[in-house]
This record gives sequence, structure tokens and C-alpha cells, in this order.
Amino acid sequence: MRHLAEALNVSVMTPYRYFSDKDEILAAARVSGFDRFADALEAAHLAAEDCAGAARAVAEAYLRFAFENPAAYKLMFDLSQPNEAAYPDLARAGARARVTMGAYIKNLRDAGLLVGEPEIVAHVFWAAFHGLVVLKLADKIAPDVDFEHLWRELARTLTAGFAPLDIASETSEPNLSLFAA
Amino acid sequence: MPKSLSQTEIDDFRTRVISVAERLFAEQGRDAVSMRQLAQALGVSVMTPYRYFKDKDDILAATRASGFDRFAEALETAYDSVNDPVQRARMVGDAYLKFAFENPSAYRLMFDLTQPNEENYPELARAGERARKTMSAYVECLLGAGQLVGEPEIIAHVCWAAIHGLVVLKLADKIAPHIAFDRLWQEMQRALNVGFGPQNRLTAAA
Repeated sequence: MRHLAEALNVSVMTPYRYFSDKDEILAAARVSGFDRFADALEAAHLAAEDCAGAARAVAEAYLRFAFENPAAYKLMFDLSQPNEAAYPDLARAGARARVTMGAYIKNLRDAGLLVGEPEIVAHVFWAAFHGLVVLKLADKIAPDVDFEHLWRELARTLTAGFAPLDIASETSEPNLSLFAA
Repeated sequence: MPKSLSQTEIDDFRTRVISVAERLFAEQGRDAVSMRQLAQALGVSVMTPYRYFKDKDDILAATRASGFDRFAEALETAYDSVNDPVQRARMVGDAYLKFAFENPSAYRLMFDLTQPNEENYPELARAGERARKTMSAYVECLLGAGQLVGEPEIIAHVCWAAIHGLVVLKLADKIAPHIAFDRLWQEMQRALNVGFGPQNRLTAAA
């Protein structure tokens, strides 16, 4: 709390007029991150014309948010906060972010472009994108690998991997166009 | 003059330093750890670590090199345990997860920490390179067998990102509690195999 007050240039006691302790400030910071993240993904989703376009736009919005807000991103997805359940607004914002991340998967599934349990499919996509983001933030990706090409290949591969058999096995347009550059 | 140390004494102490440093660096981050704190955790005088290491970053580099080597050994053993390329990829993937979950501190220091002036530590560069090679060997093997089609480096990076994401989400306790981790891992492998499979590659090239 002392560090926070110093960085805010206020007296040590001032933050206590607004927050009960450090964990409450952390919870509020994470809530703000989740809500801004969900706003960005929802806006991308709404602006797209069809569900393939939405998937692409949401993926791009996810990466943009992560690279423009690396600190918020890490607090949201890389930090385990004790007693998370004690902050209802955090639970709400976290759940909202999860729903937003899963929405495009549901749409693709409804459109017959993906098969499988939506929650498993959404977690696989999420893990892969998250892995890409944190490797990039930690500067672990080989310098000769083009990041744009890498993430599009990742998206294309997983989309093909979850495509219905009749789409995956023939040279069918929808599957192809989904994440082609 | 301090008495001169035998090679065994040096090796034993270095191993102890690495195991203590692994935990401290992973828990607190590079900046928060001091030589004083390391000496305290080891139960030695503040000056003792300096007889073996130049500074904190030298200890961090040795710790990470040790992680990379142990990781590479685990993956190399898995790779050599079978001949079938598909089976081999599965064994290497399982060994990757096993290492990560049994050595979360080492794992984070290896793949989640950016060390300044990494290139100043040749041992670290060698071990890091060895680990990278082990992670892409199974991809080359699948490509050679015609099971996958594409650029080896891209395929290796995509598979790495996917499994790394799974590991760090699991370590941070972010995976929905009702989802079975094994199921998730199997579906990820299946989707990557199909997605990089020859039939999808022909499609993508068309």
C-alpha cells in the first residue's frame, strides 16, 4: 500500500479511503482489465459481417489487447489471486471475458464450421493463443519467425483440426477462408 | 587465503545454489532476489556464493541452463523410447507436460523470464539451443514420415505455443474446474495433427 501511495503521490492513508486493502485494489485493477478486454472483443465481433469474419476479428482484437496492455493481460490470465471469490465484481468481469472468448466458437459451431464440445474447443484455442502471447511477451519466439504468419498458421491449423470431417477432407472454401491471410 | 576446493565440493555447492535459486527467482522474479538473500537461504556467509559465481545474473544463468538440460534430457529419453513417429510425438509431448508440472519453477525461469544479456552466458546459450532442438526433433520426424506437411519451424512454434499456453494456464489455475486436463490435451494434439496433416495442407496450398 505504501508503494501504491508513493506512485500515486498521495499520503499513505489516502488509498484506504477508497479501498480496504491491497487485494481489493488488485481485484479492481483486474476487473478493469477484464472489462476493457471484453469491450474490445465484443466490438470486434459486432463489427464483423459473418461468423468467419468475426472469428478473425476477435482473434486480432485478442492479440492487439494483449500487446497494447501487457501488464493488464498478465494480471488477468497469469496471476492467481488469493480469495478471488471474495470479489463479486471480479467474478462478473472474469465470467464476461470468458463468455466473450467463447462466443465466436459457438457461432462457428452453429454455422457448421467447427465440431466438438464448445468448451473444449474454446479452451484449446485460448491456450494456444495465450501461449503465443506469453512467449512473444517474454521474447522467446525465434527472431526469424514472422509473428503474423505464425499466429495465422496457428489459427488455420486449429480451425482445420476442429472442422467437420466433410469440410476437413475436401478443398472446401469456408474452412480455407477462415484464417487465410 | 581460503582453502582451495575440490571439484566435487564445487559441484555440490553449485547444485545446492541452483536448487535454492530456482525457487527464489521463480517466486520473486529476478529483480527482487539479492545475493544476500541467496546466501541467507543457503545458510552461508554473504561472501561465499561469490567464490562460485560472479553475481546474481551468473547464478540465474546457471539455474536456467540446468533447467534446460534436465528438460532436454527428459524429452530426449522420451524421443528415444519408441520408433513410430506418431507415438514418438505423443511421448515427447507427455514428457514436456510431466517436466513442466514436476518442475514449475524451473519451467517458468526457462520460458517465461527474459534475462538481460543472455548472450553473455555460453552455457545458457548451449543448453537453451539443445532444448529447442529437442522440441523440434519430433516435428522433423513427423514431416519425414509424411504425417505432417509444412514449414518445420512454424509447425514447431505453433505446437510449442499451444502446449506452453496449456501449461501456464494450468499453473495459474485458469482452466475451468470441470474440464478434464487430459481431455483438453488430447483434443489439442488431435486438432494439431489433423490441422497440419497432408489433407489440410493440400487444401491450404490450393
